Amino acid sequence: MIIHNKNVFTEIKDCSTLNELYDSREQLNDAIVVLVHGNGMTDEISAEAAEWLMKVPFAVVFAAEKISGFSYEFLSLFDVRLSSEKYPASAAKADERYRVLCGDTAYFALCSGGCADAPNFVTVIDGEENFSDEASIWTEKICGGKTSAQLKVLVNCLTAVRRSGIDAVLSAESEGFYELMAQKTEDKSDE
Amino acid sequence: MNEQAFVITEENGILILTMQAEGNNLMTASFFEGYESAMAEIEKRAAENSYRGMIICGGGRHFSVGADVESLSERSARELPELRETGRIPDGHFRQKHFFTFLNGLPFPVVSVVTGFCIGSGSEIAANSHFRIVEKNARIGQPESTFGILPALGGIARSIVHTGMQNAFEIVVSGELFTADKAAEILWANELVGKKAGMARAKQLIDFISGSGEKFSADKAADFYRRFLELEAAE
Repeated sequence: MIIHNKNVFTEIKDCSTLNELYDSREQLNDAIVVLVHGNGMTDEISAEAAEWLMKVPFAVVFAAEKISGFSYEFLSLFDVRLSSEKYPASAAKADERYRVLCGDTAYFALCSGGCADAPNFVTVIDGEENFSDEASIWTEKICGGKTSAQLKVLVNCLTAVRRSGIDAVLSAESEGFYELMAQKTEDKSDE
Repeated sequence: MNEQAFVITEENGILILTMQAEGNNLMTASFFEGYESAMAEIEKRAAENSYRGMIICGGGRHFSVGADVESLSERSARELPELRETGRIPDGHFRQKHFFTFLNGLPFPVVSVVTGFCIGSGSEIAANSHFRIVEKNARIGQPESTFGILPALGGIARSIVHTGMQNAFEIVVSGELFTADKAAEILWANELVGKKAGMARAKQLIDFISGSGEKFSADKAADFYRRFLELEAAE
């Protein structure tokens, strides 16, 4: 397994299962956004590793060219999923986790049946040439132009939903806003 | 700011808030003052319990171009010493935030008709509404992260509720604007309609919900819209 700390995110390659990543979790202490390349990976995961992934303070993006071979339980552990294909609605579950990951409209659409693909479950990226490279470019484009400190605050607001729901996000937004404003003011006075 | 920057009218039990402040509803300090006063009035009227719904729209081509970053920085610079001294977020922030987020708790459907630019704190008004009917010319986004800050008036929380963590990550962290088509694709928009068709559509939706006889609440909003579209398709 390769853990590559890039400028604004951490990339995981050649990982056979998430249990392997869990065993190396100390290397992710400073991570803010982690991109897990899933090509060649299986969806085997221990209960400890799954619990850890739901509590990590960083955002976790999972990228696999063919995503339909992975179970919903495994895929729903990640905050964001990238693939070259959509995920079949028949393999997804209309549970509370799906609602958080995909939004209210997607949740009710899945509940009502009649969708071929699970709405909002996967972001489809064009990766005909090299899917892994495209996934890295996508992540870099989203995260680029921000300082680590800013990115950390943004990710903390988003991942608050995993820890304590929407009310926690509303509180984190307010705290994060003033934290960043203070940083900006300090940066200005340092200039 | 002109006195008619926020006009509240009533039509068949529907409150209509038209925002027509200067600079395409540029959110300056005086915009926020007028906005908070209009929303206080709406909150008071909502307590009367005699309305079927509410529609928020821009009076001109644009919903709102968002906050004036300079005035936002000035305000924060004034607030920061208090924050450092007390360690508490200033009360003014919570008052301002309340007049965005309370929309989601209103007992009747709140629909934003999104036209033109709907950016930054402007998009947070729409995001805190139960429904967003988006006209084809719209461009939407939360570019705060590109200025080194973040959307703090419910924008992040509601992005998750409407589009899921899957898309909120991209909207909030990238800060990039997106088109009306993309808003429909990621389900930020409940529906994409043609130019000038949003207001009539919003009224149809409110008629559907009030005619259903069911109690309305924010957590069922998306399901109401699904059934609204389904019923129309069946007819």
